[in-house]
Amino acid sequence: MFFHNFKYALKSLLKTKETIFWTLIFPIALGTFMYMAFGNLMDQEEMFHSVPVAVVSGKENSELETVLLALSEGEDPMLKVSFMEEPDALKALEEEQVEGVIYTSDTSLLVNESNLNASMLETVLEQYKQIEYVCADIGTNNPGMLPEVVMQLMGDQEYFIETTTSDGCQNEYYNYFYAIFAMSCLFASFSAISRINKLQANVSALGMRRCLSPNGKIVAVTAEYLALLIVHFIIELIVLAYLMLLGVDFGGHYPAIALILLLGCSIGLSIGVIIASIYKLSEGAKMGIAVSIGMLLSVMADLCAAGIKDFIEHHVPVLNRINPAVVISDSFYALNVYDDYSRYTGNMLILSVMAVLLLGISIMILGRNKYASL
Amino acid sequence: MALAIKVSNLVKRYKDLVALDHFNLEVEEGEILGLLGPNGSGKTTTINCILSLLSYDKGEILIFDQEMKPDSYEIKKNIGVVMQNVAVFDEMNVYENIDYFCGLYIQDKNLRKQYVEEAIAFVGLEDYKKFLPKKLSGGLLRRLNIACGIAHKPKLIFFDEPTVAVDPQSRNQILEGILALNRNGATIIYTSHYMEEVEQICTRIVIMDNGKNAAVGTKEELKKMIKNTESISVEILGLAQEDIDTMKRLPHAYSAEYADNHLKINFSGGKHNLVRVLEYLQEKNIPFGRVYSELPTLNDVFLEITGKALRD
Repeated sequence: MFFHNFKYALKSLLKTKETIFWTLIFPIALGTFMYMAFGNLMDQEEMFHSVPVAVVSGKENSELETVLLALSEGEDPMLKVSFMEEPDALKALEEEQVEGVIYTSDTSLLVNESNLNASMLETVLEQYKQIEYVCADIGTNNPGMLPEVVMQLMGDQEYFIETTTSDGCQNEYYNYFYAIFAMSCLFASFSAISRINKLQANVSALGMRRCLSPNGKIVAVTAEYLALLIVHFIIELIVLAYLMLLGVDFGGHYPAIALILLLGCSIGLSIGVIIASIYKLSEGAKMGIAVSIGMLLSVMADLCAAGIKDFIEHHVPVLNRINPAVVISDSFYALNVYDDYSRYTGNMLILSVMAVLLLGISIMILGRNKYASL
Repeated sequence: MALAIKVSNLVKRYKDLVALDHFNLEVEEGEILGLLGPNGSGKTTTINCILSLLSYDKGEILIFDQEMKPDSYEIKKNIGVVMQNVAVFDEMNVYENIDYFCGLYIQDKNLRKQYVEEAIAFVGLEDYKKFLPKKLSGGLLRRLNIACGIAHKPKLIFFDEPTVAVDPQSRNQILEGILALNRNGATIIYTSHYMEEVEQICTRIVIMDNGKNAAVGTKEELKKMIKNTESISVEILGLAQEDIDTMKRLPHAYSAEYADNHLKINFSGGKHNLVRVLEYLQEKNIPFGRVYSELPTLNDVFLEITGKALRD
């Protein structure tokens, strides 16, 4: 009897277009859109352009001019230097043709506004002043050391040793793709609502007919749940494969990713079952609740804008622990970034507890087959 | 005769509303029992309680001499239900729908296949096996609904308004089908708003009102329960009040009404009422047109017992 129910639940699900759209086409479309939006940013972590700067030579300061010219040479130069008279330089600054004007006479800088480029120009001048001071000081007090100091200053000095704890990808844009999976898993609730409505005698005529069959309701519920879980799990794997084909790097660990998706689907389905058991609401209203819950939890997991998850983590961290969308997306992050599985395992434990708890509540609600009113 | 269903002192309350008030019912095996009643009389509540879908406050329900409970799976194997609302899967075709519901009762694949084919033939859907429900007309959809309810060859079948919104041709086919099922040994419980259907196929009728059993019997027995035994209608132009009053006093007559050039006299008993009416009209030289003599219908029975029309 279980296999009969299971077979028809599978058939039925695969023929339901809404299931395919919301859980397969929608995440794929959203993923494609995000990939198109972030594609360049993901490929090139730093996109740097030379900073245009006007140089006004007030008096002879060939050292600074030499340095500035050196910084404007090469394949990927830091500066794009133009030597001008002061009026022309000020005009260029006003017309935003240059980011700043450097006066070599007093090693000063004039900028229109404080921004990243202005800071960079300021840093260049500050560093020049420091080196100039150091050289002058040593040249006066200890001329013998001067060649050695100059040699040292010519090279970049590293005062920190960078060690990596992971070989994984820490690209922040990947969080959006993790959140898509979280949303997609939660959207499994839609088909759960649709299927469970057809199992409850107090909700549909079909449910009534099925309740009259000579089988324990738990058999039908289990068969439906398993069919739903398999279909949605496969859909998630298809979405995963598609995003990988697009070039999104999930960093391997595929069995572990599969486990996230399996538990995620289970939670989405259980949420759907619980919503479906609110029998006084129409199917449309139940779907509305499911969409709202799915979207809200996914937005809290940074689906639409980065920073919400961190804000919650800072102020009410417990919300992030119980929000399945956050836990799902964080599990992807943990797999991709950390070399050890401790954070991932913790997340899996949370997801498992949630899945078991929600499934237990679902079965308890659906287990009854006699109603006070129909 | 063994009983298929025995309901004793059934009480069902919805807060302050008493839907079933110490309701009793006995259905004999092999009969077609019509359950009649105006809206809100408790018909559907009764069926849902019998099927153990609905909890009840008091009473006992036995089906085939066994107490009916939600987990009485052995009893449920012998029950088929054709609901008022079509209950099929929209995404599955005719064959798949019938096979699914039949499969909930029949596990043997070959036997199930045979039963499904027989059910399809029974409702005349041979040419529509691969059709999705949305491609079927209202009548064909009703037939699919019936096939899903009876494919497993149940011994006890509930039909709840199976002919609502069905064209006359399909309705006749459905009624003939129900009679055929009964001939094959199934006990039928039939509820309908259509009095003539109940009169046509039911061997016994229960009239429900206010959650109670207002009257039970064959249609002949029910008709005997009411005062009216014959209604005579005569087409007359311009009848004097004096004549109306006189005819009201004819032997066995208990009421006479004259409206729209039609005189209607109701009789309770008596054998030659029509002759007496015609003799009076001839004697008074009153010209008249068409004359009808009608025996009471179930509608009259229903109206007199419940005080309201069936669709109230």
